[in-house]
Amino acid sequence: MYFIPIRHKTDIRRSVACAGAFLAFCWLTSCDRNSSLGNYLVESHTRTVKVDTFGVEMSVLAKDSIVTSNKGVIFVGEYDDPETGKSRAEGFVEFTRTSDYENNEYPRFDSVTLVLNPTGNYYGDTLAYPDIRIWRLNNPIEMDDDGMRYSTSTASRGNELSIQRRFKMKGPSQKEVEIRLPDVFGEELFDGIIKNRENMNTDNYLKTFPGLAITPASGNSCIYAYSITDSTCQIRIHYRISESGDLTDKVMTFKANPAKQFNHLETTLLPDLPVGSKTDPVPTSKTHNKGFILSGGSPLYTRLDFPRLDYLQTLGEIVVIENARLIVRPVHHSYETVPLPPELNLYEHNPVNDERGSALTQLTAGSTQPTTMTGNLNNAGKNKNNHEECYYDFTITDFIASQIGVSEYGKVALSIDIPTSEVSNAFRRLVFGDRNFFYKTEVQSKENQIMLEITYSIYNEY
Amino acid sequence: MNINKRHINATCRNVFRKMLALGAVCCTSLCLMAQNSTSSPFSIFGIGEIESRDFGVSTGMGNATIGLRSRNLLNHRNPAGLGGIDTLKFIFDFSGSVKFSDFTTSALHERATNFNFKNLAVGFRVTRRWTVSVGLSPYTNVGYSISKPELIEGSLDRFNVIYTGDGGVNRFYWSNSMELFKGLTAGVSASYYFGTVTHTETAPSIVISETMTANKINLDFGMQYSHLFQQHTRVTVGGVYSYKSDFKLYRSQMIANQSSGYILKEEKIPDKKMFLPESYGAGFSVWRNKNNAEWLFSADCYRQNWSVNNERLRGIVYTNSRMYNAGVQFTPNTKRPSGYMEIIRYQIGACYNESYMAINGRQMKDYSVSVGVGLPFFRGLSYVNVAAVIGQSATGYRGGIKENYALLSVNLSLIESWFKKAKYD
Repeated sequence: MYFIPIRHKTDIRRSVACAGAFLAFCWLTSCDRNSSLGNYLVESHTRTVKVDTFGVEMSVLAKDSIVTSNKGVIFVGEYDDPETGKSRAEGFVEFTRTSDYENNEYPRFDSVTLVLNPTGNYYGDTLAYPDIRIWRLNNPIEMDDDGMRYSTSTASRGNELSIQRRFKMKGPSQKEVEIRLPDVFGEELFDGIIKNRENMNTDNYLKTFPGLAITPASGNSCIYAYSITDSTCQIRIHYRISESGDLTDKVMTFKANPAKQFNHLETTLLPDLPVGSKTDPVPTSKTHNKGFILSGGSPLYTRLDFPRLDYLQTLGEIVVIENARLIVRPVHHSYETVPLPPELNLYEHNPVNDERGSALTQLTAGSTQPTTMTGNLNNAGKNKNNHEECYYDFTITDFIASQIGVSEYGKVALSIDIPTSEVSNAFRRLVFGDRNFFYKTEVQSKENQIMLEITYSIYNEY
Repeated sequence: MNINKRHINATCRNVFRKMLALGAVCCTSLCLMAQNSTSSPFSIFGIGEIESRDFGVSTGMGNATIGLRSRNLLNHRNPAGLGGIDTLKFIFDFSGSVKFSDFTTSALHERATNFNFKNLAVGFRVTRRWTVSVGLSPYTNVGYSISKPELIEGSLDRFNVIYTGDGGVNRFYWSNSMELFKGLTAGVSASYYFGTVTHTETAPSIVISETMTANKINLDFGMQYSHLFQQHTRVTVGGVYSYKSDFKLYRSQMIANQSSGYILKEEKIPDKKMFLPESYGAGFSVWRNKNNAEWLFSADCYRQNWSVNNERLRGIVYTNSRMYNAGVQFTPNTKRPSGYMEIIRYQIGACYNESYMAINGRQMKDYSVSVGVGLPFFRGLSYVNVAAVIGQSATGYRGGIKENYALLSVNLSLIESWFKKAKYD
């Protein structure tokens, strides 16, 4: 038996340790990675298919009314929309009294003006100058029992103040406009304030000046939006006071009260646009194969049904929706005079009880809280010369997957609309074609139609 | 009396330490088996890539084992070869390997590293004629991850389907050797095949997973005859035989939605019916120890009739395999060495293997050469056997997959005198 000398034992231990460490290293580094090698040995048991010809049935609906109070904006104007009909907008604003006038024994009225600031939003022919009429309200603006006023609401206006002003404004201008009001109105208001300044509480003030109604004169061809905040909408009374024999110019300012403003909006739809109510939707086959989304006026929105999704079930033993995109394309040239909504929402719409449900949500990367699914207007679409890239895109994979194989009572439709919070803030309009909409050629028609693009995988037993 | 107590306590502590070390190595090897890392596209076929080498002491000798018999050798291939184990010895054998592969086709060139546990076994002589060995080794390994682009019908888009496989069939064996006459031993090995193989196809929205479970007991037989000539030359001849037997794999399938994880379908599917092939082999070895230098030459051939299995996968079929192994081992001085280098066992060998697979009608062939060293330690009783194998597997088909590989095998052979009686009580 050979006994290894001590010095060699240490060497051997080191050698064994090195061998072990080497093997451990090799094991740790022998990681799996995908390889193309041997791909001729494998064959998928699934087929993946992308189809963009799935039927989407559309019907157009109109809302009874929308909340227009406390929106920070009034619309004034008229527009005869060739797509939907004639819309008319009137604004009602209350002004708050300010104390920035000099308590002087001999104030002398000079002039009165109304300051308006357009928001840049418009609906109609922007080449036409706004032509407005301004009315003094008879009574202060009273909110409904729910604290709101609607597009159908109005307020009594007197005829003692009746002025009509046309001012220059072109396109989506946001330049401040100052309109001279009749001196009679200004003197009456000024004197009322000055004479009763000792007893001028809010009630007395509102009796003296309940507010203004701003309406379009006949012949307007555009509706403009004006910002209503205490700094963007004001009445300014210019007056003078005598101090030591000198006359000094002063300004008394009445600021708009955003909490007490609303719009009266009405749309007379075209005779050949039989838009239904939510209980009686009108299919787009009766609206020239067009769906509509319109904010302001008589708000229109469009319901979407997907009646043939169950067909997917028949394609294989197992069918899994990999991706479903809803692409909404505006009709070419329909958005040149009316701006497109910057974003749209999809809402669940229960066809059994015709109740509009909540907006579809989605989980975004890195978040556990679902957010409202929004279809943003493709950036490229903002260039009107690039119609092919002008569309709204929704990923509705989960919704479509949930609708396959569901009984009739479980079926849910969708309605597509401008976000609720935005529907009365600006005039926007989207006109889009259904699957039968025809535009010049077959190819061009597809660029104007709604499209449901579904990518699905089919498994068949092997 | 005190001396006796101290001696007994020391002996108990010693045995306890050894058992602890043995347990640790067993646990480690089982963990390693679970962490098996194989990367070979051919492992997609059948029950996985079947390991033809036994990764024992003889790896450096081209794995020529059938006719091999030694006092320190656990013969994994021929149970009759256990008959050479010394009466007092307890042998613990552990092997692992790392394989660096370089795959080339006419269009691709990829590298892969495989790390595999190969063998864990213990063996000892129970009676003067009866020797046993119990061991665990992987019978097949599955490990691949293949990415294949697929066309989305109705568009010009493509997506990748990932095909992965893992697991393997393991073999737990109980080998017995019985000396019938002086020099003639017969062996039988009962093997329990078990394990799970999983093939998974991951498409963007569907995951299809098929699991195969093996559960089979089989017997292998062996014979060896050994004769000593002139006290310095021993010739051993041996043979092995395994009969053809059913090999059933129980299969189940699960289909799930990739994104939601929702299980769409889960069911048992028809069993996979295969056969363990009829196998036979023969070999011999010549051991010579003269002038303290020890020479050992061993050669064998082995055949397995895999063609009884009709399975076919995209041009790959089972075919009968043949393996020819030969190798030499040299130890410079076993009795009066002047240094450590003289007690190292130096090995060299070669192997030619016609694989169990034929691709497009051409049998895969494997050529390899090996060198190895057996490094003695622990008073020269135990060895670390390190072998390097360089080889090539190819069908010879132009454009087909060719694998050039370098394999490093490490075998730890712990030999203990557990059954030595104390000189005094």
